[in-house]
Order: sequence, then C-alpha cells, then structure tokens
Amino acid sequence: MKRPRWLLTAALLSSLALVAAACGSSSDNGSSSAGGSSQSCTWTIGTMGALSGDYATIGIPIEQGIQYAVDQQNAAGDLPCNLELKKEDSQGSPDKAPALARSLAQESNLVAVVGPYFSGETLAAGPVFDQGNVPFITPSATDPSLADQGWTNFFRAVGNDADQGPTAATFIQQKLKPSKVFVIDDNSQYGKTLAGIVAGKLGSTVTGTAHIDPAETDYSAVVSQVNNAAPDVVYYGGYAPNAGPLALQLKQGGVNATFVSDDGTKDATYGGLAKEAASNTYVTCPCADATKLPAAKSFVSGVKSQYNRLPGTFAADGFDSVNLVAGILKDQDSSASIESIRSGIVQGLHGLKAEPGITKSYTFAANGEVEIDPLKDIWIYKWDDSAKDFVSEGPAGEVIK
Amino acid sequence: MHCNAGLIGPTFVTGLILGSLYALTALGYTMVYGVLKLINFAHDAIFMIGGMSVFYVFGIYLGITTPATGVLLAGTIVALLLVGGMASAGAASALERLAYRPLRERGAARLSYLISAIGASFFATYLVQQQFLLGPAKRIFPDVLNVTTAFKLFGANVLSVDVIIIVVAVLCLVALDRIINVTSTGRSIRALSEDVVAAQLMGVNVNRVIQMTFIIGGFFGGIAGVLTGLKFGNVVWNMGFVAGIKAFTAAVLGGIGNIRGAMLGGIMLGLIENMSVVCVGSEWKNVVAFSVLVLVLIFRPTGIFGEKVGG
Repeated sequence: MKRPRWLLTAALLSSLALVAAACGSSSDNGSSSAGGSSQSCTWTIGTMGALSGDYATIGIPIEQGIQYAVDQQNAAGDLPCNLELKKEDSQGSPDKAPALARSLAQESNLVAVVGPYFSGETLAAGPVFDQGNVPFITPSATDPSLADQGWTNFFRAVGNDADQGPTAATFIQQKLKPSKVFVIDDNSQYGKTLAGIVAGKLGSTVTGTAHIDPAETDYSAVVSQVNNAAPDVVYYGGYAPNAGPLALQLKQGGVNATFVSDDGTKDATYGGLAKEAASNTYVTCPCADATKLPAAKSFVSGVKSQYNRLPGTFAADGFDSVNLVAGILKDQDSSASIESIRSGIVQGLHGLKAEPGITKSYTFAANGEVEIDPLKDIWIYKWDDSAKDFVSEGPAGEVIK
Repeated sequence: MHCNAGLIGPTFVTGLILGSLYALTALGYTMVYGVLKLINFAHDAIFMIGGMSVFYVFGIYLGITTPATGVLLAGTIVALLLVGGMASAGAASALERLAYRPLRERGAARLSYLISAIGASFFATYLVQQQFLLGPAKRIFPDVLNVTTAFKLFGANVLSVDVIIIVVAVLCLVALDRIINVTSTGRSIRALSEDVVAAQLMGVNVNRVIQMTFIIGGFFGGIAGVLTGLKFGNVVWNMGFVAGIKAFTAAVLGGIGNIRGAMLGGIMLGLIENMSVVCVGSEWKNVVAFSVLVLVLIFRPTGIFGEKVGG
C-alpha cells in the first residue's frame, strides 16, 4: 500500500471517461439525422439487427437497403415530415433484443420499426413492440411461428420458412434427385425450424439428422455420422459463419454430397470459410435477386453508388418495407399524435391490395404475413467461385421446371 | 443409447485429434495453477492472440496465399508456431505484469485475482472484436498448408493438419516435461508450487519464476491457437471462449496443476465429447461430457492424476 491514493482515483476517473466517451460515440453512430430545419418535423423509423458481431455481414446489407430507402424518401420530400432512421445493434442476439426494443419503443417520434432481422430476436422483441402499439415489419426473419404470436402490429415482408422449407425440399427432390439426405441444423430458432420443415417434407429420404453448436469450431463427430450415412445431399439450416466451416469439414472428412442451405447462409463470406467445399453449394432464399428484376434497376444502381457494392441479401425487401410505410405516411397529418400515426400505419398496411414494390407486390393477411407465390418469390442461388458470391439460378419455379 | 459400431473407429480418431488441441491449451491453465493455486481465466485470450498474430504476420503482412511444399512448408509451419507461441508468451507475460503482480504485491484476496483475470480476458477479447483489429466476423487463416487427406485410420480421414497437430502436441508435452523436470527454471517452478516461503528462503526469485510460468504456459496456448486456425481455416475474436472452457475442464479432469494430467484430461474430454455425439446425440454432447467430469471428481476429487506439477 505504498502508492498514493490519487493515482487510483485518477485511474478510476479516466476509465469512467473512456466509458462515457464510448457511450457517446455509439449513440452518435446509432442514428443518422435527416437534417431538417427547425420548423420541419421529424418522424423516426426504427431498425434493429446484427450491425456488429458474428452476423454483421448478414445484417448490414439489410440496414443499407433500409437506409437507402429513407435517404430516397427524404430526397424526394413527398412526406409531411422528414424521416430519421434510428438504428439499434442487437448483434442478432435474442438476449439483447428486448432492451433495445424498449429503447426504440420509447422514442417520442417513432412511427414504425423495420426489423428485427433475425427470427430469434424478433420472437424476443415482438412482445415489446406489440404492447407498445409499434408497427413492426421484418424484411428478413423467416420463422413461421412469428405470425402465430397473436401480435396485431406485426408484418412480414418476405415469405416464411413454411414456404421456403417445402420449396427447398422440392428443389432437392426434383433437381438433385438424391437417394439419401442428411439434415443438420444449428439449434437456433430459425435453423432448427427450417431444417425440421425440410426433413418433414423429404420424408424417408432423410437418413439422419444432427445438430451443431454454433459456438464451437469442431464438428468432427457430426462429420463421422454424415460419412457413415453416405448421403448425396446434406441440408443445413443455419447461418453462413457456421455453414462455411461445416461444409469444409464435411468435404475434408470425405463427404462428397451437394450442400444445400438457406437464406442465412446466402452471404459472400461463405466462400472463404468453406474454401474448396463452396462450389457445390445451393441456397434457397425468399429474396429475389434484385439485379435481375426490371423494377429494381434504379435501386441497384443507387445502392451501388452509395455503398460501393451490389445490394445484399434482403436489402431490396428492406427497401420495400420502408417504402410501404412511407406510402401510408404520405397521407398522415404532421400534427397528428404519434399514437394515431402508428395505428394509421397498421391499418394502412392491412389495407394494401397488391401494392407494387420492387421485389413483389404486397398484400398482408390478418396475421401480418405477406401473400407470396413460393415458385416465383423464393429463389435458388448457387455459389460461384469466380464471382466469389452466391449467384442466382432464378426463381424456384423456373429452376425446378 | 446405441452406438453405431461403424462410428466408433472414426469418432475415436477425431476425438483424439480434438483432445490434443484441448490438451495443449490446458497446459497454460495447469501450470499457472500449479504455481499460484489460481485459475488464469485470461488464458482464453492468450490462446486467441496466438491465432490472431499469425493471421496478421502471415496473412496480412507477408500476404501468403499459396500453400508451400517440402522443406519450405516445414519451415513455414515452424515459423507459424514460433510467431504464435511468442506473441502469446509476450501477452501472457504482460498479463502477469499488469493483472497479477500488482495484486500480489498488495496481498490481494484470492477472489481479486480471479476478477482481475476475467477482466483482462474480456478486455483483450473485445478489443480484438473492434473493427481496427480482427473485427466481428470470422477471418480467413493464411493458406500456408494444403489440407489433404494424409491417410485413413479406422474409417476416418486423417488430414495433413491433423498429423501436424498430433506431432506438435507430443513434442510440446515432451519438451515441457523436460523443462519442468530437468532445467533450473523447472526446478524453481516445482519448488514454488510445493512451498512458496521455503522456495523464497532458498533464494528462488518468486517474481521471475512466476513470470516464466506464465510465459511457458502462454507459449503453448499460442501454439494451440495457431493449430486451431490452421485446422479450421479461420480465426475469430471469440475463438478462445469455448476452447478456454474446454481446456480448463480438461485440466481439472486430469488433475489441475499436473502437466501429464492436463494432456490426459484433454484427450479424454475430446474422446468423451465425440463418443457422446454418436452414441447419445449431438445435442447431448455437453451434458454427457460434464456429467463424466462430475463423476470423475466425485471419485477422484483432485482429478485423475492429482495435483502436482511435474507429475
């Protein structure tokens, strides 16, 4: 106890200052101001998802599509109030989601939320939004059970896994024609449900199932099981950060099967992780390839000039979601209370009849699900080594035909 | 519970390889415990720093993208292991100096070391998660080795990288065993683990020996980190979390403080885990593995080999 006490105090104070600085900077990053003048009003659109962490490469493209839509709306200036996008970074974690949802719901100008991006976090955050009467549209969470929660303020702008699963199974049966399929999932809300649906539809061709723990790196025991079953196709329900290493370990372990996965795996980082196993990989996605849609032409070039990359998975669906909300906001009164605007959006979304977006036209069922045609709105993608990304083969209906 | 007979062979082989990685990592926990009677909960970060340093030196700085062959390959692998080991040894030394020694000099309570180590681990791990270091996503490990199937054993593909892991693990164990039992540093470490006061009276420089213990344990932890990156083809900021818990478990299973015990514990844990996946089910892996741990500890409270550095 020789050192003077002030040293300790100084150290404590400086660490407090660091924490304060860190908090300050993160909230600066968290919102992007619309920059309206003092008399113009502001409406806040919230969004939340994995903006950092393991799944950031999946979350950020969605956020870009949403941000781009908000920027376009403000540039057009057709709305009574400027839009501001408030972002919350959940890292895709269901544990973090409820607190972030509460902080969004308490925003005084919040009119709607476009998100959350993943199924697990949506399941966790949904009750908060629903009880706060906040309309929330997920542009990417595909777990079917989200629509069964009795939430009156919930909407989903893409097809769910009850559509994706059977479509994936049909693709596997009719295009890959395997005699044996092995089904693996990552034990997540999303991966497990989807893999279960696919396995159920494939029926007796499924010769084995297994789960992996996404926190771990070694899947050798599962590789042994797959090897023993000798399947022609391995289906994986989960996300790219684990799908890549799993595909690689399967290949190195001697499994020569076609790897089929889902929209969670449809990410450019997959190739580096899967290495030589990547080329024999297909994924399904309830997301259209924006670069092949005539209606999305200006969206694609706009995102490319703003972010210096092509729009990623679900970016176009995020863009559509914001525009659906904006279309309703157009007719709202800037002096109206936030509560009445929020309920106006819910009613407005339910009232849409085949409202055209860039990816599809939108009609919402009573439970918030968008009506889709699986053969047209679920697309098949294949990994392309030269493009270093998944490249679309086309809508499922055309690929299977 | 039904074990498919065809799966026992390959699972045994892959469990052995996985266990070797656990064992190498476990050495760091066990050595520090042997000397300080403390669990170094920052060892998971030390492990990660080994993998990360190789990613930076060979992936970013040297930009190696094509696998080498022959003598050049052997040289590259040795360089890889040395760089990773030394980076981790340096980090472990700094950890001791910053998070342990100040507490020791003030006669802190046992719990304080624990918190200090956990704090250091979180600090280093989340620092590496920041965008200016590794960032949040998995990063691709430099492709120095063309991973091919070396041979088939009991129906399992043993990869070239697996052979390296086994050889390095055995070499490390033998080297460490010699260091502890033959060199003067080793003698000091053993003396300190038996009786700190007596060792001090015999002229052992306590601070220096503790620092050496951290450095040696860190070196092997770093090598384990590099081998993990080499085998799985990627490094990620949180690669130490699960590996650290597993290695700590392995150390306790074998008898914490005991170096041969750590080796045995690691291999046992790898085997139990993989066997439980194929015999019980993949979702039961940790349930089975930790039940076995509890059972072992009920009948042998100090682990299989008991607590004693040098074994």
